[in-house]
Amino acid sequence: MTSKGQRRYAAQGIALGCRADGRAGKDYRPLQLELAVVPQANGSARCLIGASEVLVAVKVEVNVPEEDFPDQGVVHFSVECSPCASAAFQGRGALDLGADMAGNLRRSVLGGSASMGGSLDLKALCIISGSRCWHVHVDGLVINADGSLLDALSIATRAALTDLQIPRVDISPSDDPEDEPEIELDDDPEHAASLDASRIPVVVTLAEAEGRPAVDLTADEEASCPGPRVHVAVNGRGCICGLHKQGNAPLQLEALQEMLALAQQLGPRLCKAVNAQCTAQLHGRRQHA
Amino acid sequence: MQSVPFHAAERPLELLSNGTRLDGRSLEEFRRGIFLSTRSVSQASGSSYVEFDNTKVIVAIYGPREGGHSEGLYEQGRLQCDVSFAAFASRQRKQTGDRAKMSKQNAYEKELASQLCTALTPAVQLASFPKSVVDVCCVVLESGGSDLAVATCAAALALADAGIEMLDLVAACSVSRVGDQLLLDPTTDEAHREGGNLMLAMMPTANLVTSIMLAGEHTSAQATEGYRLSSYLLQPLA
Amino acid sequence: MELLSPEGLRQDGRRPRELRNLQSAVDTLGNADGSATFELGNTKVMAAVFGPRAAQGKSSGGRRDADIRCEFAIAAFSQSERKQLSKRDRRILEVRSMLKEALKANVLAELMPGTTIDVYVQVLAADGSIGAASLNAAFLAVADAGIPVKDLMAACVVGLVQDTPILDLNQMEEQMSRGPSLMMAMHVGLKKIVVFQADGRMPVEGVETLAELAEGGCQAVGKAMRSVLLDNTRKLALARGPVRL
Repeated sequence: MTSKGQRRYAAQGIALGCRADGRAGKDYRPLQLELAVVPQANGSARCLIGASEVLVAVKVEVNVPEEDFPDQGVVHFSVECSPCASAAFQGRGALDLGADMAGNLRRSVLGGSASMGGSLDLKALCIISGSRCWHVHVDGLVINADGSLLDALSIATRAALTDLQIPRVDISPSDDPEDEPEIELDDDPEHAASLDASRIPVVVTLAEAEGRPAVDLTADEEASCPGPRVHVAVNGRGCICGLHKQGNAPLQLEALQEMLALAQQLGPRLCKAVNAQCTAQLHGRRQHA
Repeated sequence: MQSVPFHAAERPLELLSNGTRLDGRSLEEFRRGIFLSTRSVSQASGSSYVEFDNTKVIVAIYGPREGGHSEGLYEQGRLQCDVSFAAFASRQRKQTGDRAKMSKQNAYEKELASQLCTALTPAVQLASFPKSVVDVCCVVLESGGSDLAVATCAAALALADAGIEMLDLVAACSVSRVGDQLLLDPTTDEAHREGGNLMLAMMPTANLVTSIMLAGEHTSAQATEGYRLSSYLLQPLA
Repeated sequence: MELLSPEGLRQDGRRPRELRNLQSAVDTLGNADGSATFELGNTKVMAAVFGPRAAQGKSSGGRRDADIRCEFAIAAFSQSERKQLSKRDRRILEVRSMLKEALKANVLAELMPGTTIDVYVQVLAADGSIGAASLNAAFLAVADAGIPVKDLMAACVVGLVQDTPILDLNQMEEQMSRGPSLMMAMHVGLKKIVVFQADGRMPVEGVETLAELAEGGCQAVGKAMRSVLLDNTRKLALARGPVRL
């Protein structure tokens, strides 16, 4: 629990552009990314932003497509807030937070209700139109909570989907044409395909104090900032892929515009940093193999 | 009793012809059958019923009531929102047997409830009912597109009807991006083919945004255009 | 499939009485008062301890000892098949109560009256011996939090496969083996058994062999845990600077 004085100190720090840890408004804490951390998953990544630590693991399974979209795969998102991460997450306290963040991730990655403006090619996940497709489960786990969880989750999601290897399927038509064709999974990692994750956005969370926007808030700063927080999903080209306001205070259109501009400026840089770390690690692994 | 198989009508392939939409609207026009009324639930402290053509929403407000012990003590009042869909609200009947589908539906309803809460709370003077809770119960009778926006308008109306002190009314609307066109107040068929959407809720007199939600890839210009469109057009709605 | 090859080796190439690669670390999480990770082969568990802090809620107020609460969760992606277990799942509750009882038997709760100690355990990767790994992680986190305990407590799992006692079962061995298995936790220094959980039909004469093997396993795990704790203490002592008496 932070005291009133501490809260005011943090808010003033943001307003003056010099925060408690010496950062300016638009500085991120050091970002650390590690790929393929969960051996049981098809793709996974761990992301550290300052002291915040999250893990995202992606698993795929063959299942039936949704009735409305027979020739598309399905992507599910879930986020679990481990009580290890923060004392506030015990009991049922973190269930809503997890569901909120999962919904937010889904909207930023998949786009509108029809999943058509999304950043993933869902058609590539189709195996047999109308009867079989890949279901991709993106499971996030918050390990240590010190603010900017959604930012960290989105970065880890992008990295985990870059790391994702989907096994090859062999479809052999069965003897009886009425029957479903047989599907066999190829376990050889050499034949596995990856998914194009280059268009997946990262979330930049902004808050403001006295008109000065700031990114990457620590848990203390999140508790101190009276204004609303805005989650902006930005992809590598600077396009806005999602926007969500959080908090009980209203927001002025001008302030929102300023925040969007800052997010569009920072988002591509963040994407680039994530890409650089991903390619370095994937390259290292290939050489190792 | 034998059940009658139901085949939903095919979704239309084309949404626009000569710049008009299937229901005869232009791109930047609200649905024409807008109907607003209050006092529709006699037991509630305040209520409203709102129709936007095929989207029909009923909202009841209960409270302010004493906040329970289990929910902890809050200096300010709180809104507690609940959104549920009637079993017959959508093309497919709400599943009651299938557990996986039910939990998905529940998750969706919960998400809408939390978004409704975000959209309404900034407009409500929470300090006027300390340590108490106001329940906002929203039932979507028919889901015909832009459900959340319609529910937000209805809930703001019902809150006003209940005599809850507010800074301003809240008006909300959705915009869908289909191809390169921006369609205001989309129907379900239009939302089905959208590449992105934007939901904006604001206090029109104060010109303050209470909630904004955007999904799908937008360039900056499209986003700006989207909310210019929605904010401009929200004025007459309020 | 045979779990033991004719040469007496296991599927993953281990000898019957061999532990998997063990790695542990303390003070891994920033927010918790004590935290640890414990890895045994591909099994990875993380634990965090909050407290002792002033008791919350009416029920625990006015107690003469500390109230130890446990929570246990398995991440959806931790197993080979994705599975989301609810907090009320029987398997979760079973491990949770085991952890709680074992920690109660070890923590000197009477020294901290009117307080609550929260212990949270999260499985990140599951490849057999989850219960034992969770208890080891929980103990390390408790020790890291500086909570007084009776003795170092270590746990391991042993089983009987084709009449051969084997140490530290992995997921495949747990599932495929038709023989009995035994999870044991003990006070390493005091040589006292804290948890003794047997599954499956066990021949009477086999109990002693299995228990002996488990004791050896606990001693080995305990030794590794002790060295991790000592290393951490040394690090803290160095950070503090020279001690003047």
